[in-house]
Amino acid sequence: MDLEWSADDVLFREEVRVWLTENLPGETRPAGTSGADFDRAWQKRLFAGGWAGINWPSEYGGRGLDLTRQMIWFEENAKAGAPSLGTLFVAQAHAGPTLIALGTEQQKARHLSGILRGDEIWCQGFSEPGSGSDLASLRARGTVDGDDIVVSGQKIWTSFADVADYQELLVRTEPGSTRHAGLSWVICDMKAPGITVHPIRKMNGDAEFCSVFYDEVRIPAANVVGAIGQGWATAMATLGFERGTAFIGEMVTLLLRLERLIEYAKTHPLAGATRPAWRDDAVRRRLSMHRAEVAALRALNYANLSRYAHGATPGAEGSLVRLFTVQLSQAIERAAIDIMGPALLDPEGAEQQWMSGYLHAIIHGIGGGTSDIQREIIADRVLGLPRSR
Amino acid sequence: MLLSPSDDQRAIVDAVADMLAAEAPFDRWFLPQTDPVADEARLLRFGAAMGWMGFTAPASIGGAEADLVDEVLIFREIGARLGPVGLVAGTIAVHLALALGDGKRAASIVSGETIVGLVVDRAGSLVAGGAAATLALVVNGAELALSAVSAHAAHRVAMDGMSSIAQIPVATPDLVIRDDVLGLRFQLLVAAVQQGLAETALAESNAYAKQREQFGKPIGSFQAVRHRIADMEMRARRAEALLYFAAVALRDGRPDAALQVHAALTLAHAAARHNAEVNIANHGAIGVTMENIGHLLLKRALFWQFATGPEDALLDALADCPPPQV
Repeated sequence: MDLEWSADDVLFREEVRVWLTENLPGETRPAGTSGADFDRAWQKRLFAGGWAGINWPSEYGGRGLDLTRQMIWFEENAKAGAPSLGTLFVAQAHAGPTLIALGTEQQKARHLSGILRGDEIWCQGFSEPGSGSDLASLRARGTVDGDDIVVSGQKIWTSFADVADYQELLVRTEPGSTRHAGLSWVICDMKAPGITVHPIRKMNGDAEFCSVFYDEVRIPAANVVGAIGQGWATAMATLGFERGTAFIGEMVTLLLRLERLIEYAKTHPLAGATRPAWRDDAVRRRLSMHRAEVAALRALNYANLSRYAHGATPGAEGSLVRLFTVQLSQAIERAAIDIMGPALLDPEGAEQQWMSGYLHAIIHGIGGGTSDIQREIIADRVLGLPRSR
Repeated sequence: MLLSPSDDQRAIVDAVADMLAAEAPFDRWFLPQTDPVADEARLLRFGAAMGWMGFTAPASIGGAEADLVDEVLIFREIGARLGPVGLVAGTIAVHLALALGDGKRAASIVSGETIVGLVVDRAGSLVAGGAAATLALVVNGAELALSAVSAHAAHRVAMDGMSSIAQIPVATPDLVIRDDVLGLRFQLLVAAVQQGLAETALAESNAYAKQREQFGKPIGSFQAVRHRIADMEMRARRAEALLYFAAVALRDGRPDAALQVHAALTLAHAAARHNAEVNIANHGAIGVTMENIGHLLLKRALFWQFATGPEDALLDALADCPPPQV
């Protein structure tokens, strides 16, 4: 075992570092949907610099980096505080890779270049009011009518639907089918007649969530990705792209955030006290325990990634990393607000960003599969326990 | 970068695990005739014959000159089988003696001729893990000492139900060293045995949840049970990855080695103890009897936790480390 980077990888890290230093936007990203223009501009700059689609194959205009370099890219982005993908997340991380894997030549030609250049914002139409953790129970109907599929129904928790150009939409195209069978994954133009989008405000004030209503929306059957009726397989391929390097950036961000919190505790007293919070045994030991846990999260990411880089296939252990990341980020944010206490009551105070970090961490425990669902996946696929459902 | 055992390392680990399974089957603890003190002495001899206390020592004193990471992998297996405490004490004593130029004494520990016990109390007289010990190892952070002990004291079975322990007047130490790396090495080996213990608790629960039926179904199909076992898996995996990171950091002299080792021991203690407790709960009534190894896993986890100082001291040491570099 070793923790060494090759000389080429060290040079690559330096290249990334220099480029980021010279190109990072001066302003911070506006929150939620209002960051769409910012996201497009940043993506264009990435594209111009040759950093668009770092994990996309070069034949599709991507950078085609191996796993180790993707990891270096994400680490350096997190260290530099570079913008997240924001509204472009679904396009870059889901839709593009899915089209590359399963799209027709026509679909690839139509969308991939626009996605890489930041011209296309996508959203994900999977969850429904009655189908959250149990996605396979979804009911949105797609009726095949000549060359079209006519969609009626409702999707919900659709981030950025109000600014999206396209949607990866999962609908039931075989009447009477149940569960995973009879679904289709279609490219839906969000400007098509019959679509109504209602924003939903999250508890942190962001209005990126939406509910989307479909009233006889006509979508060309040529927009099905993968085979018609095989949408579940396409959707699983989509989710599979999240694995691998998906948690590296968050891990580095969390490590730096904890160290910032420790600095805060060294320079600020607890409410009603005069000495720094760090001198309080309970506070210091609580943060030290989180230091140990962050070190473990880093090691776990490195352990998994180095196995993938040596040929192992990413699997259900990604759920374990995700669960740990969510739990640890909640624990660190919880410690932060406990230390700051009454300082958080001033809505103009400098500490407010920690309050929003805490709320964000709570929100983070739901999206992309709740923590309970992650435990189910670990129990099924890592431990091989008999199924509960 | 590789932070996972290679195929060669897996082969070594599997061989050690097989040997230990044959030499130290868990079901011997259910037999009334098993004498813990004699059993410990037998396994110490076996460990010495396998060369485990000299695994990373130079060939000149009978060592195998292996990598520190390989040693950690072996001690993980020793911990998983609840192997004798004296193997950890002996291994550290070998490196203490070597550091002070006493190759003769180091060789005699490697060969099993000299047995080393571990002083587990602050007063410095409660010696665990070697009824036949003639040396006792004291570890206090970066200060380590070896003292001669008389082997005449009356030995009892320790709190873990498996080790020997005795109040022995410990002589003025004849070998004393202040060595940060050796102190960290002790912590790393304890983290390795605690890691193994956490894995055994997890494996016991996983197997039992598949086999035990209630309400007409395996209990592993109930979410309350499977989620507890998923959390055991999480504690084991995060501690394991950190154990390897810490081993590489210490071996390579990385500037963050102290932080990584303190962190690894903290999470290995937590994984061992928590998994051992939850494993008993997962077994229900049989779990709280002597006819199941659950209590041994828990008592040994506690034994190591208490023998290596209070958790608060470990957390304070972590607090004193410079921030990690990314």
